[in-house]
Amino acid sequence: MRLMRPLLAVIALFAVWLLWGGLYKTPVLQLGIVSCVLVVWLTYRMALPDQQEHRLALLYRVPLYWLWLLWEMVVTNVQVLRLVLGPRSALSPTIVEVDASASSKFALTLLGNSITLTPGTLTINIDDTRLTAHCLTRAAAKDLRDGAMARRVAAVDPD
Amino acid sequence: MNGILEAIAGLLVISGSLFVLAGGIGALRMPDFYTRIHGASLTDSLGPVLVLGGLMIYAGLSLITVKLAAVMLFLLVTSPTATYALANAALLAGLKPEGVVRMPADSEDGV
Repeated sequence: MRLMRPLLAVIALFAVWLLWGGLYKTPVLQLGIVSCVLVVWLTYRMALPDQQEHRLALLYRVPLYWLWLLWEMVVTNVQVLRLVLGPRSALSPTIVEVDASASSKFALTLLGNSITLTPGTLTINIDDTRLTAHCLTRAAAKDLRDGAMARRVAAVDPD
Repeated sequence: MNGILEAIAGLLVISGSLFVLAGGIGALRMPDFYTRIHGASLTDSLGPVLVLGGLMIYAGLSLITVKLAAVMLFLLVTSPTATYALANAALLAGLKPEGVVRMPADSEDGV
């Protein structure tokens, strides 16, 4: 059943479309179906969905992680706000490497995006064994290398 | 809709806007390309979260709130991805970050 997954994806997307749109006229619905098929086709053309099994535990672990990340964002946003408005001499740009050899692709993506999402740290390169980040201050770089965030990501998706 | 909730919603929207404004200032004030990205990242992290959060409180429990939550979710996934694409492209093109100290993964005191 090679067509089963893309078909399910189209149906799920169209259900979301119906929920979001709220405008049920024939031409609009036709456009909706066409765009859902287009999106699924583009996705399959770009990359086949990974073969990693989808664990249900991620459904509650990821939102819990987001709550922690939200708090981190508040803290770092205030720090960077001060740096932005303060003197330039407070900056101490640092490039730090974080070991990520044990992570799955999902965990690497989550970690890389979380680093970028918290201001003051910015992922600039990812390969299979390590992740390179540009940090606005040395203190931020130290926090990143000490790995509180990496540990939490590893707990979300242990491999 | 009672007054206190409305005031909280307004406060959230205003503070979110201030973060977006600070992001603009940061993008202009920072010394080089990579630090400018840090400054600008204020606009796509807490700024929209506060603004959309305020609007969600304002909208109450309705389909609008669900849609706003979806918008927030999509923003929080796509904007760091786009930022990474930008920074990684600059790195691959050979743009060197100015005045940085390197801190490898295995160093002791980190300098």
